[in-house]
This record gives sequence, structure tokens and C-alpha cells, in this order.
Amino acid sequence: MEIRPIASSMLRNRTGPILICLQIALTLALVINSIFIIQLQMEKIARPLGTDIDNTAIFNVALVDRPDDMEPFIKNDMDEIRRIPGVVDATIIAQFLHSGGGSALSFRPVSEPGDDLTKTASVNEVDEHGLNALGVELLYGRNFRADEILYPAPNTQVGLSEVVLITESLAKAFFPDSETADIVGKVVYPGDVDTTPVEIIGITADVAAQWINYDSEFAEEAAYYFMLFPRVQTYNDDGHYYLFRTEPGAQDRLMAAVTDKLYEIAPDRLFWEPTTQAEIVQETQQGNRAIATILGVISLLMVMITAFGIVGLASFTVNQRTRQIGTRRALGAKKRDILRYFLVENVMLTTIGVVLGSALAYGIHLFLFSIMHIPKMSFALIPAGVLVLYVLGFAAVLGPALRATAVAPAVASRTV
Amino acid sequence: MLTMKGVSKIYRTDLIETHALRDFSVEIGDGDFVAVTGPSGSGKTTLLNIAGLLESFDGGVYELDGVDMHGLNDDDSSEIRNEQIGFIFQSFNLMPDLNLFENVDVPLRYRGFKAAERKRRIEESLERVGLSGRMKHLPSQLSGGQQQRVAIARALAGSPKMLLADEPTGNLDSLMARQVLDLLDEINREGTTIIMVTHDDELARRAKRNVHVLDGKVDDPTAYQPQQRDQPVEVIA
Amino acid sequence: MFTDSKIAYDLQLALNSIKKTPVLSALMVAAVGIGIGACMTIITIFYLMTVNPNPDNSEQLFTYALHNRLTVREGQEDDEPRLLSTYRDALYILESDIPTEQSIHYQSWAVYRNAAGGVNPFWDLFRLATPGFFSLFDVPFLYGEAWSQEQEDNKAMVMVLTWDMNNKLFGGENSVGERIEVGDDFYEIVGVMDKFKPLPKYFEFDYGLFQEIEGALVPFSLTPTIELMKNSGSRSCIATPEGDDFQSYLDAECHWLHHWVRLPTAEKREAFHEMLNNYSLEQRRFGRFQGPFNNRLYNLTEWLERLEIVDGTMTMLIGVALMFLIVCLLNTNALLFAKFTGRSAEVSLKRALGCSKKRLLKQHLIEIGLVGLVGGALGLLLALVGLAGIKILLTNFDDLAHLNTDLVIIAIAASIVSTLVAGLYPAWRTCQIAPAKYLKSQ
Repeated sequence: MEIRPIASSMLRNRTGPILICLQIALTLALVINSIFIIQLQMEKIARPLGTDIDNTAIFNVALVDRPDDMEPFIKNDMDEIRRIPGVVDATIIAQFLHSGGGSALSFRPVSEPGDDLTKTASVNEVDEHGLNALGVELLYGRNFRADEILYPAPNTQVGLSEVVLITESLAKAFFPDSETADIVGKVVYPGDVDTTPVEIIGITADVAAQWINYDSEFAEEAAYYFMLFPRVQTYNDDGHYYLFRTEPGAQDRLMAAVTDKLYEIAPDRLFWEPTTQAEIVQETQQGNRAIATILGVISLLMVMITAFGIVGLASFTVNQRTRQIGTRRALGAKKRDILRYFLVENVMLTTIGVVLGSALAYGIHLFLFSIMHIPKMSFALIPAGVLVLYVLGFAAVLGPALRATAVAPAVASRTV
Repeated sequence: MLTMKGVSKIYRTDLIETHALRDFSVEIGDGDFVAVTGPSGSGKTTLLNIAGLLESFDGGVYELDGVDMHGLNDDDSSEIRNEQIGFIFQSFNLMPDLNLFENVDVPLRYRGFKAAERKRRIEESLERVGLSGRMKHLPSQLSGGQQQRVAIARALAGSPKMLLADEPTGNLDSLMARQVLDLLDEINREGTTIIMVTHDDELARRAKRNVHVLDGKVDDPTAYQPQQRDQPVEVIA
Repeated sequence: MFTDSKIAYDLQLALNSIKKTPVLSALMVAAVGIGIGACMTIITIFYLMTVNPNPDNSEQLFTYALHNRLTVREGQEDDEPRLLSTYRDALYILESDIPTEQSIHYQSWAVYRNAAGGVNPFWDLFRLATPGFFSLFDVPFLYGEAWSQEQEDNKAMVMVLTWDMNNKLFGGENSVGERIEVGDDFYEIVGVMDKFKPLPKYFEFDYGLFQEIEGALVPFSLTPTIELMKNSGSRSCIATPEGDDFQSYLDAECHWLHHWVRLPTAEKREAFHEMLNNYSLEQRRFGRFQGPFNNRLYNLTEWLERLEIVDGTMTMLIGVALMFLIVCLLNTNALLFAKFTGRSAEVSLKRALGCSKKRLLKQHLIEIGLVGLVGGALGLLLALVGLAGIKILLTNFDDLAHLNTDLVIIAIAASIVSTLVAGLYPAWRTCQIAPAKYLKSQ
């Protein structure tokens, strides 16, 4: 292996090699960090949200001429929707789920304020059909009863109910020392001030809070802190949200059916654009997808440009050194010796580049760690990236290197 | 040492056929010092290339040391070039990015010698040409004459059976040219066969023997003829 | 020195030189173009997100954040105050005459009906604001004007339409004097806004930071009358309301109102801050404002920082784009190096014929500058493609993903400068070639 002479030669003609090394280093550093972040985004997108995303849809409806007592009217709407064949269940709900926004409340498990046990949870409000309509499993305790659902008059701000359903993660966070089954029946206290407690009547499987995709320590910890209250709010003309769950495959058809039924019940309805839960989730995750796509595109372009750079420099070198190549052949180099020369040169350059690049990648990772909320990167990514660059470098240099082997020995004897 | 009988070389393009060598025959013995002369375009460089296995030939027989050189594959001819033949070019053809030591090292690495062996040979041949004090210098730091001497050292380092020199003094002034020729003389006296292509009459005179080439054929294989350029030949019996 | 004919000649030389190596030049332009294109795509978004929407007034417009705590837990002393105000606190501050103008506002969704008929009832945003809203934020008017302070004090049932709403209801005509029904009430239109889209919408950060104002506006004093709860945007309570009626909603320790003031002088700023602190002190006897004071005052510039519009992710993307540009420039550098090496003979000849190093360098730099110029133009085209892609990926970014004159200038300038930087070394190196060195046959 002619490492020494190749190194000497490169050192005496530094510019090209330095440029390629830098490109390789930067590309490695960027690609590694990009892949890491892309992975993070995809993980975030893949996190289970806890409800039946594919089969639920939400309608935001209001009445232009509202009766004073909305309770029977809403109950009737709900009954009618539930009766439609193909609808698994329906519930009234206070706001969109998994939309990146929503209400949040803080509770503490002890009556004295001033302890660090307060947890903030994402909250929503449903009726007694809520769990089934959302597709959330009840693990311990019981669901709301029909008589526990509060129907406050419009424009009134009613206090919290006496009962609540919470997720398993939240239950364990409130009472880390208890068996989960024993948490049923315990109470929690709202806010910072000593007020009436709320009883935990049931514990459900985990549902994602609205901040599940946020970039913060809090969001990590509280990702599945979720509470359901038995209440039907009607803010003035904001209308109400009806959520219904359909059998698989029937969603499109049933969205039309539900719309028709609602118009049938009250022709002067106002409809906000009907949305499926899947669409809402899609929109909420836009940011994650966008980051992944942007990073992916730039990484790809960078790899391409570096590859072209290697091809370019290698071609240039072959052209510049045609005479030298011919001379070497005249002196007895076989074709594979010439090929090996260029491949070894390329491997050397790539090696220097990836060593620099690995250090740079780690440095960048530390910097990102300080400005974004991300976990530490696994070191397995670096060798993977390094391998890619070796393969890339090899593929890029192969063409020019093969051309070099085709230089005839007789070239050496031509005069300039 | 080297025998050619009826060797021909044809360059073909779409439209033209050029006979660079036709029915070329020559015999060169061990220890010979032959100057190949002739006008430009006569085919002497082609002859050297074929002799040095830099190019293939189309017809005839070429034997080197009794071994048939026809139809050799690339690997084999490279090996023979590496082990048995040394080249000296008009434009030196040193690697500009390698120092003298590394330059002489080039063919030795292809030989497969161990490091110690290579070092010994390099130091010996650079000493032989009088440049062992400049081993770490780059070719750009040397004069033309010195560069050619390095090239000679490179050609000698592998102990070749014959040296092929193509206009070795073409790029040198007369003083340097003389030095190079002296060196070649010495090398020849020590036993290495030398075939030298030149269009310089004075140089040709210093060789033991001349072969004059004209239009791809040997003009007069034995006699020394002080020729004027580009004039038709008269055979002197 | 700089005569016209000389520049034209140099330009001509540069063009010829570029044309002589078409493949190499094309590759150079492509490398620069791709780098600038990627950079500009991301820089555009960053720029539009952070450019000050109201530069003339950034020193005078302020919003505050009162740090009201009812209890203080250990380790909580450094909490951030809530960014929105409670109803009680906002009304108290409204009484103060320290600020020259004040705007309290919030928005909700409501059902609109055109009293004259012709349009089906529909939902849209509905905003309650003090008349200071229009003067503080320099809202432009197409027809009519805002309601007066007197009308505000008298709780007049008047309304200002946004440009969008006026188009929707009245086809863009002058609708001053017409009546609109919202919820159960009728309002008379006194003014119609022109297009108004400050980016970001700094005075309403909790809903559509980069969207246009929609719907209509009515006097804030109508809040207790209309009883419209805030149902769009943020509302966070630190204690549950006492009762279930609307008055309890207003009295509750809930933060939901935006409140901006104009404080034109430093004295006023200090006086205002002092007033806030005195108020907090006084409120302590009601059990509020426990713990150390942390009342904040933000002017527009500080507020934009506080909003953290440019978060870690954006910074990362900018870094990525710049790294990419560097790689592209390294590539260009390598190409220039290759090109100039190939021209050694020509340079050597020129030098032998008497061309000075400076003149040669200038010629090279002009050539490199031209490559940067064309590369920048290509980069802008590619940025347009990139921005179109962004708009597909992020459906809310329509206003943040377009080029304006400033950005075009930035792009071309950055392109030329960075290409020159990349090419400086190869260009200079080539000019150092000794005359006639490459003229000898090797």
C-alpha cells in the first residue's frame, strides 16, 4: 500500500484535498444530525394518541336561533346520531382533540397547597358516551353516569364537577406510591388555592395531551396527563362539538349521513367545516413532517453536491495527471495498481474527512442540545453516517479511477 | 537480447491507415549501445514504444531474451517493463509532487520489494548518478540535467536488462547533455544494454552502433551514416 | 482609473472566459444557485417572522405582565408572569392617565347576520376593543372611522368592519350606516378598515400570529352587556371562579385580555411601572400578588423576543441552511481552483505581455462576481420553488413564504459576496504565477 507517497503527494498539492475533506466533514456532520432529528420527528408522529384516530370525526355546530334550554335539544341530537346504523357511538365534547391546543388545569393530590405535587393536565369534557366514542379503554373504576353530566345554561360559567376520569400516567404521577387500582376513589384539589376536591372515579388507558409534540421538558413528562370531565359547555354562539365514532371504512358515508340528520332535526343549523380526527392530527403534525422533509431534502442535496465534488476533483486530477499515470504504467504499474492508487487516495481523504466530521457532528449535537429539547443522540448514528460516506466516496471516485486505468503507457513518451 | 523480425505497426483511423513501422528487422545484443536515428515521423519513437512494450505490434516477431513478446496481456507486459526495462524520457516525466527518493521509489513499489531493499536500491542509484545529497528535494528544485539524472536513477534502480532512452538530451543544454551522455556511457560499460533514440548526430556518434530508420523501415542496420536530414538514402555497401 | 471603456472591456473578458469553459461555469453557477436557493428559502421565513411589524413605534408601544400569585410554593419564586391580563386588573389600569393611549381587546367566535338579508348567517371572529386599538396599532381605514371615546364610555352599539368582512357582507362598498346583527344584538357600522396585516400580529399572540384580522370590532365597554365569553385564544385561570354567572367570569382570577399602552417618554415608562407595582402592593391585602414582585413591561421589540417566535428549531434550520451554503461554496471554490489551474498557461502569457497582478486579479474577480450574480439569480428561482414547497408542507405559511424586494437584494448581494469570498484564494494564487513560467514546454 502506497500510503506514504500518496500522503506526500497530497500534502504538496493541498488545495483540492482540503476542499474535499471539508466538504466530507460538513456533510457527515450535517447528515448525522439531520437523521437524528428526522428520527425524533418521526418518533413524535408515531406516538400513540390513545383515541380511535381513524374512525372519529368532529362536527362543530350551532343553532342560529337557540332555545333557552339546550339540554334536551343536545340530548336529542346525540340520540339521533347514535341511532344511525354504522355509528358506534357519539359524544358531545368541549373542544378538538389532538389539535395542539386546548384547555389545561392544574391539580394537586393533597389538600394543602404549597407542595410540589401539582400536576398540569390536558382537559376535555364529554358525556357518559365519551369513552366509547373516543375508543378509550377504562382500566379501573367506572365511567360517568348519565345523571352526573352537567348541562349548564349558556353563558354561565359553572365550576368543576365532583367527579373526573384520569389517565393511568396521571394517576401514577399523582400517587406514585399507590397501586393503580387503589387510586380509584381518591380525590385531587384544583388550582393553587384550597378548594373543593374532585373525586377520581375511574382510570383510563393513556390519552395524549395537547402538548405531546411540543419541544420541552414539561411536554415530555406530561405527555399523557389527561382528564375528562362530565360537562357539556355551550358558550354563547360558539356552538358545540359533536364527536362520533364510526365503523371502519364507513366514515365518509356516515359523515354525510350525520350531516343530513342534523339538518333534518333543525334546518337552521350552522356548520363549521366537518373534520375528521385524522385530518386534525395530520395538521397538528405538519410541523414535525415539515422539519423532517426540509432536513431530508437538504441532506440529500448536500450528499449529492459532495458526491459531485468528489467526482469533479477526481476527474480533474486524472486529467491533470494523465502524463504521470502514463509514466507509472510505463514504469510497470498494472491497471489495478493505478485503480488502487485512486481508491486509496480517496479512502485517505474520506477518512480525514469523517474524523473531522465526527468531531463536528458531536459538537453540533451538543449545540442543538442546548437550544432545543432533544434527547442525547445514540452513537450508532456516527458509524452509519461514516459508512455512507465511504460508500459514496467509493462510488463517486470509481468512474474517474477507471478512466485513469485506461490511460495508455505510451502517453509517457509523447512530447508536450 | 532483443530480436525483431518483420515487425509492423499500423495506426488506423476511419479514413486513413498509417504504417508507422513496416517489415522492421533488427538485432541487438547484450551490452549494445544503439542509437536509433532518423527524421521526425520516421517511426523511431514507435520502435522504442514497441521495444519497451508500451505499445503492441501488428505483424512480425519480437523476442526479448528469447521470449516471444507477441500477444502478452497487460499485466504480463507491465511486469516485464517493470523488471527488465528502464525508461528515460525526453521530458523526464518525474512526479512533480514527490521528492527524489519517492520518485525513484515508484517502480520499486510495483516490484514488491520490501522497504529495506527499496531503500538500498534507491540510495545506490541516486549515489550512482551523483544526487544522493538531494534526496528530499522536489524535482522543481533541480536543473534539467539533474532531473534527467534522477530519471536515469529511477530507470536503473530495478536493475533492468536494458535502458530505453527517447531523446534523453532533447531538453538539455549542451553541457548538461554531455554529462548525461557520459553517465549513459558508464552505465553501458558496466553491462546494461542501451537503446537510444535521437536526431542529434553528435549523440549518435557516441553510441557504439547506429540504426537509421526511414519511413518505418530500417535504413541500414550496420553502417554508420552521417546523414543529412530528409534526404533519400543511398546504401553504401 | 475607472473609465467606462475599461470596465466594459473587463466585463467582455470575463464573459469570454466564462464562455470558454461552459461545463465548468455551468457547474459553478449551479453550485452557487443551489446553495443560495436553499439558504434563501429558510432565511425568507426567518426574516418575515422576525421583521419588526411596527418599527416606528417599537419604543413607545408597551404591554405588561402582572405577576399575580395567590400562593407561593418553594422553588416557584422565579415563575414567569402570565402574559394576558385579568378583567379587573385591566380595568384598573385603563383608568390611569399615564399612558397616552390604551387598547384592551379580546376576540371570540360569534354568529353574524346581515340585517338587510342576502347572506346566510355565518360564524366569524368578533372582537371587543377600546378605541385605542385603532390608534395604537395604526389601523388604516377605508371608510368612516373608529368610534369615539365618548361612544365607548356610553356603550354605544357601534361596529367597525374589517376589510375582509366588508367584502363578504357588502361587496366592498361603503357600508357606514348599515346595521349588522351579531348574536342577539344589532350594531351600526361606523367605519370600515383597509387591509391590515402586521406580521406578526404582535398584539394578539394567542390566535393566528401570522394571520389577518378578521370579523368585526365593537367597543370593549360592551363586555358585561354582550356576555361573550372568550372562546378563541388563551385563557388561563389561577383560581376557579366564585359563581357561575358572567359577572363571576369577569371577576375571576383568569388571564385572557390583551392590553397595550403607549408610553412616549422615559418618565412615563417609569411612572407606569411604578403604578403597576403600587397597585400590586395594594392588592396584597386581598391575598393577591404574593411573593416577590415580578411585574414586567415589554416594549414591542422586547415583546417580539419574549414571544420566542424564533425557537430552537428555527435556529437549527438556519444553521443547516448556512452549512449547506458553505458546502456549495467549497464546491465552487474547488471548481474555480480547477478552472484557474487549467488557465496557467494563459495567465503566464498575459503576465509575460505586461499585465499587472492587480489588473489580472481584478479581471478574475469580475469573472467570479458575474458567476455570483448569475448564481444568485438561479438561487432566487430555486428559492421560489423551495418556498412553494414550504407552503405545501405548512399550510399556514402563505404569508411567511414569499419574496419581497428586500429579500431579493439580500439574496443577490449574499450570492456575489460569498462567491467572491470562495473564489478569492484561487484567483489570487493564479495571479502569482511567474510570467512565462508555463510557456516553456515541460
